[in-house]
Amino acid sequence: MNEEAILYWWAIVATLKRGELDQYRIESGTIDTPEADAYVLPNRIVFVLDPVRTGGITAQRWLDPATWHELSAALGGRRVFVSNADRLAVTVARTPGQDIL
Amino acid sequence: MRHRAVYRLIAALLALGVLTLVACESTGVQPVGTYTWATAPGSDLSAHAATATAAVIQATAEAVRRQQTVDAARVNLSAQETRATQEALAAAQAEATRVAAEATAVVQSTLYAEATIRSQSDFATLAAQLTTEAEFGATQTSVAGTMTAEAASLAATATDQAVRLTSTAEALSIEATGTAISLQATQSAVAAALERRRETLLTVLVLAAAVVAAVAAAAVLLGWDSLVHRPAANGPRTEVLQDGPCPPLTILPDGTVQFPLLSPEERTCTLTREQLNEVYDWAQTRYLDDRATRTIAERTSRLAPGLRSVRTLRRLDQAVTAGAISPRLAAVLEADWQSGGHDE
Repeated sequence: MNEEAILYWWAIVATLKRGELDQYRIESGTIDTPEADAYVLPNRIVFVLDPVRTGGITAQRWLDPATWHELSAALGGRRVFVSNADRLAVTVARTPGQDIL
Repeated sequence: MRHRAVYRLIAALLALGVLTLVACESTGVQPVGTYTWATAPGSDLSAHAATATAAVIQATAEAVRRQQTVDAARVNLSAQETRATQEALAAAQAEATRVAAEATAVVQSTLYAEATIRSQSDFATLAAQLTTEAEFGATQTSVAGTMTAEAASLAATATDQAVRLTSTAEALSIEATGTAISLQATQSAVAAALERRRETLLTVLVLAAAVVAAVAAAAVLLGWDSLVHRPAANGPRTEVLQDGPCPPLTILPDGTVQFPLLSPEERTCTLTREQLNEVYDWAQTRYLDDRATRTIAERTSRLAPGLRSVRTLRRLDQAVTAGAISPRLAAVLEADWQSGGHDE
């Protein structure tokens, strides 16, 4: 398991679920969390979201640039954006400070 | 040369005679000789000239005679000189011959002496060589004799050693035979002892196995579950992981950890990430037989809820090749990454 991918995913879920769930419930898996598959590339990590298990987060919120800014701030200034094709995919740059939106 | 001097003398005498006649004629003095002016005071001039001529002839003859005498003496002297020279030469040659003969004799004597000395030296050298050879032969004979004696002594010693070794070998053979017999007896005794010990041990093991089997059968028959640590199928097995006011966690037989719902008063009972990992690790070690059957996604979901898998790739098209994502999604991801992921 890639520790870097886990940390990024933790930060994404915690940011989007802020105010709704505490850490204990996130860790326990008793809440409805989004599910994704991570692909670690040399310069970025792509989280391909499950279109069904969205964790109650709408596509409009994923595609909102304000959400990207919020996630980038939670990830230490790393560049974050969400792509929309047949599925939603969250891309996080592995190096901080690259083209922060 | 000599004849020219004689002719000059003759000419001088003739001139002297003529001058004497002229002087006698003028002075009246009669010259010495046969023809004098006194004996013939009345003769004429022709007579005087004939007389003078005769005198000249006579003087000339006398001069010639004397000259011949002188020449003869000279010839005689020359012959004598020649003879003396020849004699001296012969004497010198004879002396030289004698001296040469003497020198030759001396040289021959010297050569003979040298040859004699050389031959004597050769003889001496030969004698020395013969002496050396004779000494060497004598030494060889002596050495051979000594070696023969030593060889004989060694042969005798070897014979004695062989005899002694033969005796020793026979003694050792007898001793080895005895030792082998003794060792065989010892091995037999040891084998017998081991056999008895093995039988005893086997008996003890059989008894121990029988006791264990009896205890296990009794436990199964009596329903003593706690003894075999076998939880009921699909039944919850509660393990208290937290003390105090916090509610306990529940671990299912498959290693799943169930967290109870917390009341507002129990919000301080949250776990940190490290504590949660320790709980999962502990649950996995408690159920080793079940751990191998769980998928990676299941274990991942416990560490990062919602993150089903993590794959490390060098390029995004590898995920397309594996069928994990569609080519369209890969193209959009690559385009957004290249464009900076601006707002849509």
